[in-house]
Amino acid sequence: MAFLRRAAVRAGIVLLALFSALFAYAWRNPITADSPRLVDPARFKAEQLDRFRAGARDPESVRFSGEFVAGPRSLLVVCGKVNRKAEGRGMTGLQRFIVSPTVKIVDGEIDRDAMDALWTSLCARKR
Amino acid sequence: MRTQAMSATLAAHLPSAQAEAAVRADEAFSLFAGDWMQETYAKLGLGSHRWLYKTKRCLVAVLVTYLPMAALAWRQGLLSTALSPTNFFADFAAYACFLVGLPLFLLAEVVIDASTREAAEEFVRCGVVRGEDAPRLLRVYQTLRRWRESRWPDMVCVVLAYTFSLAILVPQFYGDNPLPTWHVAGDEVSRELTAAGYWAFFIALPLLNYTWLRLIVKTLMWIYYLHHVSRLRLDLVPTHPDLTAGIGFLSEAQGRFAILILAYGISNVAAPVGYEIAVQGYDLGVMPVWGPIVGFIIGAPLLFTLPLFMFTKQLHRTKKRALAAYRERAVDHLRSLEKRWLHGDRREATAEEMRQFAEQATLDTLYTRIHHMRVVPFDLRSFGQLVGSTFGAMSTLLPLLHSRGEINEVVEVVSKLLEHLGGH
Repeated sequence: MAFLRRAAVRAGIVLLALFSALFAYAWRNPITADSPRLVDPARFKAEQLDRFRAGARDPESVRFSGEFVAGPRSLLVVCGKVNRKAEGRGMTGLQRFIVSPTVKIVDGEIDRDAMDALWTSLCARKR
Repeated sequence: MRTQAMSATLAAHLPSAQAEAAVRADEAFSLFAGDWMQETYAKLGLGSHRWLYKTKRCLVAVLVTYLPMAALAWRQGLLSTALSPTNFFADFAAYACFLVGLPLFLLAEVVIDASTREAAEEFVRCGVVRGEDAPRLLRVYQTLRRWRESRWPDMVCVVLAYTFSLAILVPQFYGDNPLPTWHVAGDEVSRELTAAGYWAFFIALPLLNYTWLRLIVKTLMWIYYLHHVSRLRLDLVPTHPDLTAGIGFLSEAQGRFAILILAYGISNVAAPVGYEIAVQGYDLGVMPVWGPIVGFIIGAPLLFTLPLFMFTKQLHRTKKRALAAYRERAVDHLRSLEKRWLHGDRREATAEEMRQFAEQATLDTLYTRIHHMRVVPFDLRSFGQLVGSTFGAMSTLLPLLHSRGEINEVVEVVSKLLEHLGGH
């Protein structure tokens, strides 16, 4: 019992108890890829733009403008305008685009009315 | 033992009744002896001044702060190979704070304690503080002892330590745009602290904050001491070879605070700024990022240099008086020499004349010393230590800035600033 009266031992026991409780908590509540988590808009935007650029025919030529993160949490997208090298010579000119981890849509690649509708529904809610 | 020796040194300058009281009370200068933290170290069996125990304190600090967080983060799955804010092991600010900063703060305590004690002892031992001022100095020691032994400064530090910790935590729950971190799990709807987050905000971070806040209190106590000593009529020696009238030891003591600057710079400036740049993706050009760096670079060396200007008035007066006295003496001496050697008969010098020449040479040396005497008790070496520690702490950011291609931007800004200062 004299051993327990030593301050170092008592402090150690308290810290160990706290650590054990938190360890049990961590064990019971693991954070996995499916766990709900906050989104960092800046990081999300950078990742999506990188993905868009990587998928382009000439990644060096891709220039974004006015890009922003939008949409509800369940369907976050990056909207904006892009200019890039056209299939022939010259550049495409600024075209609207919408990109997310599962979708990549650019003006001209789909029907204009469909693009307008998607733009209105997905890009209206800026984050 | 050391305290007894110091109190005996002071007592030698005191009237007998006060001297006895001073020795009995072990009244000696110290910023740390017998304070709450020292008592705690003693209770934990870490109170010895041997290096083994100092190393043990550092190990215990790391064991109580970083290791439990790492274990909890690992258990809860806050790890990945990505450099993301949700990966505990990518948070190099945590490495810098708890594996480098915290041990450095603990070592800084030892270094500052020794150097300030030595400086205070020198004031008395070298007779810079006159015998008749010893009672006033004793009162300053007594005030410092009361503050050391009082629990209030420590309580304030503990409260502030938790406040600073919560100031980081609260925005992660109630801020407008909370970002994902390893401290807090969940989404916009519901958020909760992770296990590592609990340990970080309620144990590790407050302990780190308390450690540096306590050192800030000790620095303020040291400034208080310097202020009172500078108000005494010091017995300064303008011809002293240290070129600061015999108080050059102050410069050395002040230079030792460089370790505190280094620890603070690494843990409280470079680490958070580096985290903001590398993990949160902030730009160096944003004011909240470069502001702390600039503030630290300017403020840290100044904080430890400015208090020494309290001695400037006395040093300046001493220098002025000494130069006036020298001129009076030297002119008489030189007149007599000139009369004999420039305008008199040329013949072999007598022993008396040779003595006069030697005296004149000594006067010349003394004049050079008085002429070069500094009116701030600070030399370039100590200032270099403080500035070096400041830039040393910030240099830990260079590899990061280099990898992001921002180093050219920094070099450009610094060159422009230097050009501007140089008037080109």
